[in-house]
Amino acid sequence: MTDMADQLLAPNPVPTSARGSGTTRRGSLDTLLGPMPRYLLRRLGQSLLTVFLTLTTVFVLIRMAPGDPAYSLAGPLATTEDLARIRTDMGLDESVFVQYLKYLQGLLHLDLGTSYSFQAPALDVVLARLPYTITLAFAAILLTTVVAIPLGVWMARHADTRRELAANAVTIAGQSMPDFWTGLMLITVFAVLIPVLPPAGFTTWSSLILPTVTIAVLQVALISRMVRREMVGAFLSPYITVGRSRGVSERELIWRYSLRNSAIPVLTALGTRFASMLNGVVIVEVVFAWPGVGSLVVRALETRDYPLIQATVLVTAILAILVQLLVDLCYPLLDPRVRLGKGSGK
Amino acid sequence: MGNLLRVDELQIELITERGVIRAVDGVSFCIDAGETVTIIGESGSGKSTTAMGILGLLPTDLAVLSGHASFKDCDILGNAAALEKVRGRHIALIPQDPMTALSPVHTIGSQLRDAIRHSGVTGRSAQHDRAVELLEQVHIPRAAEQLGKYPHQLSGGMLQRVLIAAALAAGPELIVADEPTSALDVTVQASILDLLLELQERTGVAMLMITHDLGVARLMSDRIFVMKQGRFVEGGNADALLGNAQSAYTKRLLDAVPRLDGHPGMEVPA
Amino acid sequence: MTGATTYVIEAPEQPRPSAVTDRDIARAGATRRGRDSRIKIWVGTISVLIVVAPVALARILPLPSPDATNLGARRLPPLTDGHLFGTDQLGRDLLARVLYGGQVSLVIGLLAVLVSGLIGLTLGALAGYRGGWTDTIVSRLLEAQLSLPLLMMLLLVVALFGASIPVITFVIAIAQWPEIARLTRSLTLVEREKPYIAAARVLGLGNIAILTRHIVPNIVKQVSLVVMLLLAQAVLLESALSYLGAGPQRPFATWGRIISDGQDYVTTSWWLVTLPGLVIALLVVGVNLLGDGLRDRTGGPRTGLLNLITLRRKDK
Repeated sequence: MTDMADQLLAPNPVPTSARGSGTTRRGSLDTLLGPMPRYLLRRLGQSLLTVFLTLTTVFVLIRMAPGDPAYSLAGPLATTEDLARIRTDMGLDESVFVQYLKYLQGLLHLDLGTSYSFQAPALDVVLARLPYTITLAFAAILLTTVVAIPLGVWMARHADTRRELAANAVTIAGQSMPDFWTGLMLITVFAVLIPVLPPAGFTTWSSLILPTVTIAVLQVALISRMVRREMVGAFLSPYITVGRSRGVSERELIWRYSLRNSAIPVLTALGTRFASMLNGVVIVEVVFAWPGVGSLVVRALETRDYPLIQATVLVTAILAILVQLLVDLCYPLLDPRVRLGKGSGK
Repeated sequence: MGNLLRVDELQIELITERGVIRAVDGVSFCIDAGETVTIIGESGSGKSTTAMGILGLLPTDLAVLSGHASFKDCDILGNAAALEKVRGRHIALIPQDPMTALSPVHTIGSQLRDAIRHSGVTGRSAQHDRAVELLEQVHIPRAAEQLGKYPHQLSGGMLQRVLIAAALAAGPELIVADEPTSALDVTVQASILDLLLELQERTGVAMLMITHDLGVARLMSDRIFVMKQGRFVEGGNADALLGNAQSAYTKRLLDAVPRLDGHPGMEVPA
Repeated sequence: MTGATTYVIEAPEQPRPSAVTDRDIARAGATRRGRDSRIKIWVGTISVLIVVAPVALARILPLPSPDATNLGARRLPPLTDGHLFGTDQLGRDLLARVLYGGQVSLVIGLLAVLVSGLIGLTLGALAGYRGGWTDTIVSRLLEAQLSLPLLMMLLLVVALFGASIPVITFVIAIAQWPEIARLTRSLTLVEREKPYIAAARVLGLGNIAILTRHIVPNIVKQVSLVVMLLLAQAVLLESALSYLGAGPQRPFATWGRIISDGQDYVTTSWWLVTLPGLVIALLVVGVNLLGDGLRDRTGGPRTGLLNLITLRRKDK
């Protein structure tokens, strides 16, 4: 969504806590532990905070909406007994604080309410469809990585040439087309005009192609531009010039030095991008009637099935947070500065 | 007499958004084997640009080079093929800021090995031994241990020694030192300069020293050229220039250094 | 050549001729970058105007009403019977729908960006300037929001509170404030250390005054560039929301809604989906090109040129 702005920020999407957010809190934690455990703890703390904020926000939203929350959670076909039961379960007659505790308690027991349109526990409904979404997301990430990185490197090496200007225009176009429109256009061309691929649903493995490409168009545009930016920045670095003076070949300068140094911010960005990519996945699932979590939530919206919506939001939030945490944990593997901290310089 | 490096009427023009800037305006000098020639001048006088230009390290879409530069009678100005053969093997660079001169995500050892490999040594263990040998030559303690470290783990002085070691890997005949001590603490500067002098004595390598520091020039040079706004204004034997400068600019430059030996300067207001 | 005296080198009477050829200039990086940014700015501006001008002038243009159904003229292809974009499944003129819908989309986008800009600027500047707990809270909040798949939460909000223009504007603003806040915060952190701020403090200016009179005016240019790009993102987000059914209700059918309405006829009446999408793409491409070109102009990290030549440290 808000990805263009990334391009204007200093090209260092380092997780802010790794850089210290500008305020280095020298607490006892820093002196007790080495840099790695400190970093891990901070990332974990941030993730937990995010999970917590998400849970609370969902809680507040449902309570804040106009109308009786009990109706929202029980559904239009609820009987008075159902309503009464929900009221006591959620403690709607009691203070907000108690309600919150009951809510958290329910979450700990993995009870996210019952979906009335499916007549089943909301969490189960969501988890049943989650694998489809993950498959799609994973395929999109794969395609994106395989295309965007070589493209970005190519653009960096031919920066400022006419060829690159054309590539530039294409990538800008790629990130400007609404994803649902791209999907519909692809369906029109490849499933209707030249019927080679299935237009909707998950019938065969080739059904995966069009949705994946749709998501990838946007992601490739963004990631390749970022790779280009990072590589060009790396090219301007003194260590490249000094390397050249040492006799390092151009090829090695590009692939071994520039790319390796660019890999860090790109990887970090991929991690933070996972969340916005999930947005694209939701839309694409609707366009292609893909049986995943995205189309589930849109249907749930139409039927006002709030427990299901709530469950979807929470599950996908946790998924995104987990992925980001994983990427953040890989970050020290790539960047020795984080892994080792300031060492024993003479 | 065969000069090692011969530069004739070197002119470097930079094409920028604001137009064409003439950074180096017709500079000529030569360096013989074993001697140290220093170019001193203020910031922006073009001295670093001269060195970078000769080595072919200026971006081709920015700089236009004209004139002549030859190394051992082989034309190198703008000659990419010749430069590739010469850089790292016969002419080596010691850069100004050691903290940014090495890739932060590769170990010291692997980057040193680049230079060693370029000098023709093959085989992991031979390269490793040579790396340790080089680090010991620049007086880095516990050399084998340091090879596995990353640049951010070493101090500026240590990094500069590593860079000097990398420069020496192939036994070059000429070292270009671009303000090698400007980015270092004063206390460390002296030790680096001592190291360079020692290496020069041992290997007989010639040096092109770029600096704005008169103290450095005084210590290291055989001959000095004073550069101002892209041109040389005066040149000659080091002692002669430092003691008996003729041009007004050089005299002002020398006077600008504060002295402690009772020079009749301004009275300090009470 | 070791004499006891030095020799002075005089400047030549005639300045040396330049060796720069026209070809050199044409191939130079600086020239190409300048040409590229010029092209981007021009093409971008034209592209934006092609979309925004008709949308803004929709009421003046000789168009049929966007709600006028005409069941006898259903799903006409473009350029028939004076319908430039053709008609939809209820016989409504598509161009009219697109232009009037565009008005709503653009207004929502502008409002959202305004709100998110204000929130982001304020919070970011406060966080950057004051540091400490303010910074911690804002930063943690920022990071938390940026790591969430926001679309679903936005849909939830719209479902709960109704799909009215204020709600949608608010929802888009919430989605965008973190980017602005993050940028403002970084810029403020840098500005804060500059000497003129210390001077202002010495002169006795209070913190609020420093922020509003000094820091903000100096960073506003860069922030507004981002804000402009976010306008494009806001339009995309709004169209996504309305495609999914969470847009402003009829009769204010915005672009996304028009596309989702036409979705069922994508095989028979291609223009119902293609043309509105093209309009969106054209607008967003224009804004992005314009932003790209402007950013190239203002330099930024480009000034590494001098550092490259001398391998000088950037802070020297």
